Amino acid sequence: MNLIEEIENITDKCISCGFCESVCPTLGASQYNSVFGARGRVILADFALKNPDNDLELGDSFYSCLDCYACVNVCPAGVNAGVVSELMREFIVTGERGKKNPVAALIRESIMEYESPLGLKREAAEWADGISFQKSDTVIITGHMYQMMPYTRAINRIRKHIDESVVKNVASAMKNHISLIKLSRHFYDKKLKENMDADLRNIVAMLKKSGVEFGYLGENEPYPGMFLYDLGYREDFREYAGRFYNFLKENGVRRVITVDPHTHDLLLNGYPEYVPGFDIDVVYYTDLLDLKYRKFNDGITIQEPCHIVLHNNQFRALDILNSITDVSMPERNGKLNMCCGGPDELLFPDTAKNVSMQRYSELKEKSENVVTICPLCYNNLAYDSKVKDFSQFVKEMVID
Amino acid sequence: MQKQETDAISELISKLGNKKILTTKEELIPFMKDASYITGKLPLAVCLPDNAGDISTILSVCNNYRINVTVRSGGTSLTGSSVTDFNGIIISTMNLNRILEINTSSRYAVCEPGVRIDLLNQELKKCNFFYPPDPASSRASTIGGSLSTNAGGLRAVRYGATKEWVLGMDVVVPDGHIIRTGEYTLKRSAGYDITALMIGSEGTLGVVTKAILKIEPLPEATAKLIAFYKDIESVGKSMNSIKSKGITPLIAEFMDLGTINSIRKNMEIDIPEYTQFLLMIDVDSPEEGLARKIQNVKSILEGFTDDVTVITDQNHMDRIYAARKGAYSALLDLRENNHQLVVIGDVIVPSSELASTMKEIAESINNDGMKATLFGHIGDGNIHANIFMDNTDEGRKKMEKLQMDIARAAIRHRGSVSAEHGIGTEKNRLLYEEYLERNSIYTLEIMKSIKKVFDPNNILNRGKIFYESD
Ligand SMILES: Cc1cc2nc3c(=O)[nH]c(=O)nc-3n(C[C@H](O)[C@H](O)[C@H](O)COP(=O)(O)OP(=O)(O)OC[C@H]3O[C@@H](n4cnc5c(N)ncnc54)[C@H](O)[C@@H]3O)c2cc1C
Ligand code: SF4
Ligand code: SF4
Repeated sequence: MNLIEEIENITDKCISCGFCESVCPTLGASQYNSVFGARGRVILADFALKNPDNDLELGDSFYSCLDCYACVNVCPAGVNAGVVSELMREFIVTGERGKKNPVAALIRESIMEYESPLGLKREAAEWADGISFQKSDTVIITGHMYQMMPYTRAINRIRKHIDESVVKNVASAMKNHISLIKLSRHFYDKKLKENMDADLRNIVAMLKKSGVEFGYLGENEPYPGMFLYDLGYREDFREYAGRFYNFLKENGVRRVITVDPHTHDLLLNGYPEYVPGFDIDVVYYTDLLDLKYRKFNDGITIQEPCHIVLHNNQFRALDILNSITDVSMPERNGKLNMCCGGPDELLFPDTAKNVSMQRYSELKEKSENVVTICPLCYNNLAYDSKVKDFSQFVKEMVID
Repeated sequence: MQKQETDAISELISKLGNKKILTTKEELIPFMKDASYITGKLPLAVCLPDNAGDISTILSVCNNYRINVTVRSGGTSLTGSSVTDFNGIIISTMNLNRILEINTSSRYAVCEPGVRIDLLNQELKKCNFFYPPDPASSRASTIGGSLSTNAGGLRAVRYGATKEWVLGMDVVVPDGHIIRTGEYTLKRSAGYDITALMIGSEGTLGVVTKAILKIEPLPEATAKLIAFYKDIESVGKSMNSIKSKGITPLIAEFMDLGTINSIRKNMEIDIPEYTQFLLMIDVDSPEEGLARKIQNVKSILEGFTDDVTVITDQNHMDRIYAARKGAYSALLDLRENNHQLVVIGDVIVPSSELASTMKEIAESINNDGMKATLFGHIGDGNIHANIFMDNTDEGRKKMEKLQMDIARAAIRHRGSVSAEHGIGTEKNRLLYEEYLERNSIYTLEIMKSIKKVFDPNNILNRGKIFYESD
């Protein structure tokens, strides 16, 4: 089946009932401009493929999808508008139709050239300064997610003052001078960097205390290629993922400990599809924790990560939180979970902000104390200091 | 685009700003579809107002330039009523989506039209109240859309359709005036009931911008009884017997075997082998009287069948309710290929005529050589025939013929061609047929005169309810 057939095979099932619009976070965040909602994406994809002679601008609708998969869980016909968006990005990248997103293209260049979307190198490993790791065939893979957040926040602060068309023009121009991306190393949110570095150190400390033996590849740990995968550069991803896998094998790695849901989902489900013979075990760090905790009396609510609950993965984080405190689940939880908006931060910061504000107020209705279990969620929802990452909240509860 | 169209759109943009007026093709394409099988025209523009003033501005500009306007909220219409058949613009009222007030002592809630029905009920549940109209699309359908189609749903047997639950509304009429119909009071006898006229008018008279809705306390204790049958006559007799004993269930639904099969797994109950039809009855009562009520209904049902299952576990009841609400959706899995559509019919007859009408409908399905399943709200006589249609010209013709045959059966049995989905553009001919059969085409003429009073230039939702050629 070719790509177009693959997409039509999904869109043909859609009955346009609009159920998916009731859960799609980007729709309300875009003032109900349907093309930024699940049903609109499916209808647009179908129209574009069935009417090849059109001059449609296809990019934004599909690039703005958060890939949260909330839509498929309410769709009576089993259509996943998130997957349609992923495939449409792949289609746009082939160059057959639609305009590529220059920011996405810039990120691609940087990953292929520097193994990091923002050209980070040493900066991605600074958090581990002074920590000693063991030599082991198990390594922690940070996926660079905690590390990138302070940089994307700073970039967005600058972007807020610049018109979107200028951003796209600058991104197009930078593509030919890709080394300029490294300038982003100098722009970061200092406070957030301290938090994120501390979170990673908390994770390592808890794993060590639980008796887990593991190593860390330091500044040699490549970025796992998530943006290539998410932005539709699937052929580039195939090559890149192969490189990543070989690197792990050369370093004798047999098992990886992931610390964020996006990298976890990618290594667990994406890699085996793209890397023949992928044979590395993937385990989420919460599932290795074996610790005693104090009680937290005030109760919390949580932001579940879409890449766990909506992408059909599992982890023990919720069991641990339940053993520490009363968890009031937000109105939308589990299979109806609402995304934090994080995946749109780089390309559609306004949408990301609108989604996160809505989610933040929903969470706050349930409890003052909010625990996130993903660096993207934390970055997007930490509008006050009562929002904490799992690693911080749980570490504070560990009985020494 | 003609000059007057471009001028109108430029004026809309200059008055409302370009964020509220969509004009690029990719932004307009999604508005060509609703949940029906009908594809509308590409609108000239889509307006996304967020207050009544915006809507007033849009309508007066369009009225001046004679631009056609289609109103839309959740876009779950099954009759093509929220897409446009004519060159024109679409107004989406989804950004008017606040619940403005909930007043439990006076028993009303005030809502904007873009509030989805489930969301309203989620809020009302926090104070042990609910808004009874409950179309199976309640996850996505809205107050604005359901008022305009007089939506029904599973609870209509006890609570009636939407029209019983609306006290008043704010409406912008086509020349831009904002009018109030009705009030916050549970009773009112003050001139013509324009509120009632607006309900079910499918966006042809004005744009609803606020609604005052009646609300009810949640029923105290409930139970579900499911009875199984070999023939439809016994289903009808069971229902008649329950009603004639003075019991009005909360919900009374029937399904045929095709429908049962599509949701069999989700119901999690044992179904006897012989089953061809199933009757689902929900009863309520104060806690202390529930057991007696269950026993009463059970013995009535046992007069017509050997097998009756009683369910009192609330979670299980909720799961069965969700399965029944999802029955239309579940039928999608029975499509032979992705190009086949399931078109849902919506006739209604008096309850006492149900069994005989159903027999005739089954014969029509057979004679027309179509695949279709039946389910419906037996308590009020509403039968949904779900017709599997090949999406080709020939397939469509066959489906239309069957719809007409079913409609004629309903009319013969003193019923109507639409119980709750409305007419849209899909059922223009069926509506005409109904009045023709009743020898009352003049009723349609009166309706058209009313439309003229509200909308002398005929800009609003053209082609909906009354047939008009392009
Ligand atoms: C799976 C499925 C199941 C369904 N089950 C049922 C059911 O059980 N019972 C039932 O009754 N219906 C049912 N429907 C039909 C449909 O959902 C209802 O008619 C619903 O009330 C439409 O609401 P909406 O917000 O989607 O309106 P839309 O589709 O947006 O519009 C419907 C009509 O209302 C008008 N309208 C919308 N907003 C306004 C406004 N603000 N002012 C004036 N006019 C307006 C439109 O012009 C149009 O004529 C079902 C549909 C689906 C897809
Ligand atoms: S819920 Fe599914 S069938 Fe309905 S519009 Fe969305 S994708 Fe289409
Ligand atoms: S994956 Fe999420 S953002 Fe994308 S269409 Fe589905 S619900 Fe919307």
